[in-house]
Amino acid sequence: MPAKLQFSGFRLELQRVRNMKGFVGPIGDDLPTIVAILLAIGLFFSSLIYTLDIYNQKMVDMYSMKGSIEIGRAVLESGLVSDLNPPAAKYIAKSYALNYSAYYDDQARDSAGRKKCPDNSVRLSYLVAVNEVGGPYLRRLTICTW
Amino acid sequence: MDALIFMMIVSGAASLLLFVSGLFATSTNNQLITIYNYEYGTNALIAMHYAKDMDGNWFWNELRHKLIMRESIKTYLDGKALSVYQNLTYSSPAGANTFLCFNGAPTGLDGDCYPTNPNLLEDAATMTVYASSVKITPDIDIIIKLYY
Repeated sequence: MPAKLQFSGFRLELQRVRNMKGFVGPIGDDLPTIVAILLAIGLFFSSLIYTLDIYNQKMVDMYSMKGSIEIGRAVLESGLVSDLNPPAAKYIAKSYALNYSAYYDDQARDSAGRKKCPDNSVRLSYLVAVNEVGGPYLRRLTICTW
Repeated sequence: MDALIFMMIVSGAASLLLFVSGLFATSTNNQLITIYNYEYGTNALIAMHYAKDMDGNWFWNELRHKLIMRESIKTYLDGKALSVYQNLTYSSPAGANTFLCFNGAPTGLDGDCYPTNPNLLEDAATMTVYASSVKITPDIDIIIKLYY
């Protein structure tokens, strides 16, 4: 069959299809299918990102708590607390890449009135004996890591 | 039809992810919490070695003396040494569910622990308990028990 005639046949077929009722184009015809696929992919990746976010947050919390326990051990090592920031605690905090604050409950705010422990940080409390004038005294020590 | 099947499979996978993330988010760091509770108990026992009662006497020495002499511990813990126990519960992660127990032959206690709590005894079987102990006399152990 000559090429010109073949092309003419194709155009006629295209014209026939275009004249069919409800035809909205080659992509438009598949639109309902594409919407369903896109919705499914969107839902899946949203869930995946949410799950990864939860996982990362949990790992950060566990890491902070582990660091906090080790810092607490370093601060309380001597039994009778006299230094809230011993070099060993600073070293552990640095190795965990954590910030920490160790304070007695009545010193939870600094001189400017700001909280020493930010919100959403890990706080672990201990009963300690503090070496002070007229003491030792029992006090509650909080180790806060973030 | 293929798209519908695809959507159902992917939605199922997404639901599974959400379920797993929900489980993970609500899970507790049990091992770390256990370590912390034992650390708390051990440090509290050490701190109590340095505690003084209202008369300025060493709490530990008084307690040992009363245990050896079989005097009432309850009277002492309710009275002159109340602040020591209050400090313990105030700082404890278990709060009021923190008990000082005596494994040996204490006197003046209804049970083996201070304070005595009948409700706790009923629930104790279903609760998690973390205990740290030290010998105060060759025969008697003092145990800090944290109930959750």
